[in-house]
Amino acid sequence: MSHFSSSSNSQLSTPSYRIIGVGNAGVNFLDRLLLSTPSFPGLIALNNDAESLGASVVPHQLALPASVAAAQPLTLEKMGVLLPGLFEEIKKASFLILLGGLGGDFGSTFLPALAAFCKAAKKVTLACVSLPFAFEGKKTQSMATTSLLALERECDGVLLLDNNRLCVTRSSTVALAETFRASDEAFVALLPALLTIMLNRGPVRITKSHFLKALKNTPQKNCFGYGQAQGANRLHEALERTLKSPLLQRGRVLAKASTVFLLLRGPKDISFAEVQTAMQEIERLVGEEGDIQLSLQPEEVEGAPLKIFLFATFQKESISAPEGPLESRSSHSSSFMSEAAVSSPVNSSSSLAPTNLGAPLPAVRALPTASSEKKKDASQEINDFFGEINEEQLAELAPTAKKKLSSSSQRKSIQGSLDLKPLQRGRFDKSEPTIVEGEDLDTPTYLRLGLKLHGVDRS
Amino acid sequence: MPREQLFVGLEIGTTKICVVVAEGLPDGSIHILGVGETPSRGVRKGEIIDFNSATECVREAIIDAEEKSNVEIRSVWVAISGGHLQSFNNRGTWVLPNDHEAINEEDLRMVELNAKEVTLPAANAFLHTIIQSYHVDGNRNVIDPLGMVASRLEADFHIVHGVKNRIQNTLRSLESLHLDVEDIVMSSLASAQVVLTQQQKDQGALVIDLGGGTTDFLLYLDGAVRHSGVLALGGDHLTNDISIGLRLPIVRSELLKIEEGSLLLSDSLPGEKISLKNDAGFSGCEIERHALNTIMNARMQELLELLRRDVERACHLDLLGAGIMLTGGCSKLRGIKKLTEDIFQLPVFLPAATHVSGPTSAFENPEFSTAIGLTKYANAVYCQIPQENLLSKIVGVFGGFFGKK
Repeated sequence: MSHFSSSSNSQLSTPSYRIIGVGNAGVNFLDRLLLSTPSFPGLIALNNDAESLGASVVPHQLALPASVAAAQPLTLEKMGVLLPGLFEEIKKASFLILLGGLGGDFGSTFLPALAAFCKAAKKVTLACVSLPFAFEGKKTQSMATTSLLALERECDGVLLLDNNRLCVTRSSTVALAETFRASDEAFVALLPALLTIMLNRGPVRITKSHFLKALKNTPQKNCFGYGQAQGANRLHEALERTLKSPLLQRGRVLAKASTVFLLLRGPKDISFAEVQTAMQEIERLVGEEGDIQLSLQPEEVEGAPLKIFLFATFQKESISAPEGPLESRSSHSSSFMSEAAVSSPVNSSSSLAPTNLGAPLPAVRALPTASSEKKKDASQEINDFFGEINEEQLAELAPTAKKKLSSSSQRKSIQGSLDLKPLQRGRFDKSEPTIVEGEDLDTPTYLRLGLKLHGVDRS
Repeated sequence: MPREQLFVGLEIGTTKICVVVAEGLPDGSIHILGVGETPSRGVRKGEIIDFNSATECVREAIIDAEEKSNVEIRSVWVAISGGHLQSFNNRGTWVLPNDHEAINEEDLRMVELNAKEVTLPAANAFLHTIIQSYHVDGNRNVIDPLGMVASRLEADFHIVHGVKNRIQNTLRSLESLHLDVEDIVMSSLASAQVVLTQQQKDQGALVIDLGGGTTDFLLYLDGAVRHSGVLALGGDHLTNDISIGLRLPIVRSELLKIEEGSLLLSDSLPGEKISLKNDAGFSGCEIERHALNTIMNARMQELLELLRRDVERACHLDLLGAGIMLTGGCSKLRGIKKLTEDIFQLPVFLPAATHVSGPTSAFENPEFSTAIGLTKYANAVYCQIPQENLLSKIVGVFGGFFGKK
């Protein structure tokens, strides 16, 4: 899967940006990117794990001593001493993209520190980070949350890939490696699209400032999808694949999006009608309040596939609970919210001092404070991040839990229930199932959609 | 008055089996002589699942048609449907030998054979190879290349194939009734013959045949078939959903769907109830109209959206200048036109059969469009056969028809 054509590469032989992969996850994302586009320029792998760097295919590598890890306050000065090469690279770049996974010791600590370093150098900095899977444990989740809040303060924009949301539509029997691969592939698709926007390419552009403003206004609330296709019906196929991306929930989430960035990249012969149709299709999905921004980048390569990238940002509390086994998802989210709120409040005094190179960088994992007011703020912030489930959804999922939530603390876990009864197929019970797009369409549609019906009143 | 060619169209549907006897007129139109029908048994989703029951139903329908038309039926044109039918477009190429003066019938046959040189699943067989356009030495969209001087002939075809054994089950059923099969025709292709005019085919149109067990569709662009398909979903699914959702017997659900149901949620008032009276084996009850409409709306909306996505993969909907023609039993449901318009954002029509005369109850009923279409298709095929071949064919195949009248 190549998302960046060779012609684009030639243009980018001396790029004005740097993409820095931090920690094992960050380096892994860069490796995946290079496997799909071998000559992708401007990549830097940064890790304190020499073994991981040794196995990486990224040509430009910066190694930190293994001792640099969590809970070690790093001053910007010390960082400059440890990584003089990095400082030079940052100085050369007009903007920086930081890649990494949150939750691990190194990534969680070093990413916010590096972001502060870049900010101090007065560079536009975007962070693309992934959140850990639910199975990685509460401590990891908590560390990721804390680190994310710090990143948000230091970066001009944070693009978040929530692995849990990414994988929710996948079958539970899918291999773990496959799940990780999906996460990596999402990054591979995200980066070239991001660069196109940031580099202001193409006849129709999204301005950098508009993009950064949308990211800044809606921190941590974004989702994206991508797809590509060739042939006579390439637009519809690419669009369909894009909307099928797990984070977009078949386009349903777009109804609540505040801004949708639609990026069309591909062949030189991309037609006016195709662009118009793409806009019309997205307009149908986006709510009346939503703003759609289009970017168009025709490539010089003949026969290049049409690639669509869709990126949506949301106002706070507007994104819905992910699709899939809703009850179990909602119970998981809410229980995680309460855990996070209790175990890792953020020390508001831990904000970084970006312009002072001599100032000490605080450890990202902040200590709990005695102030209950601050605790409340932090838990509210974390709650905002994970998206509160609105009352309507809750009513559908767990009516009893709704009562409790609206009446008191709103932090109680909701016990989910798993319906073990198979869905009814009625007269089609013994006939060959009609399977379309993985769904058994013999099962009544209203059951699959979870529509509520008023019961039959037997006289 | 001398009788014209007689054709019999047979549709073995999920809900009913329908036989239409019609005479073909030289201008390409047909005159219906009689329609026989019987409720279907042993057919599910357009395919035979109980051979003996289905065969018995076909026999009853044939007898009914014979009585109404006063014609002894010996051979039929059969419609075929089912989720196993698939289609694709392919181009055939034939380089004409140097000594060839002009393109002849043999060359057309060779280019068609070349287009069919594709690997089908082992269990499948070709059903139709429908010409879309010819290209002669790069000259595109030639309508009739016969007699043209050329070195290279290409042709685009729409190819339909299906599972051989499933098609043969239908044939065996007719064989056991000592009926000859003239040809097998995809249901949607037959329906399109009566609901579309040539002008609409040229403009671009989508025919959707909403049947009991299947939804068949066929897309015409520039006068040629560009896409076709069958979804194994139909009116039976609506009935089944109602039966499960409102806990009613299937028969009551079917009646409720036809008499009271609507596909539009706006067709119900808050709290509006429908009273169902006591019946043998069924104690009466009240149901909310909104619940009924919700079930029907969800199912039909899903079906039409699936269809829209499928059609969009084949062409831009804007190219369908003539819009969408709905036919089949489910096209009589309340709200179907509005719902289809909303989903496709195109004009939608519920046309009666065109260029057909006879009992209006027959050709104005969309349930018979496939069977009527078969006779029209047959007439069109016969009109294309050269006169000398036609006479021998008519005597050979349809001789028996003239005996009884």
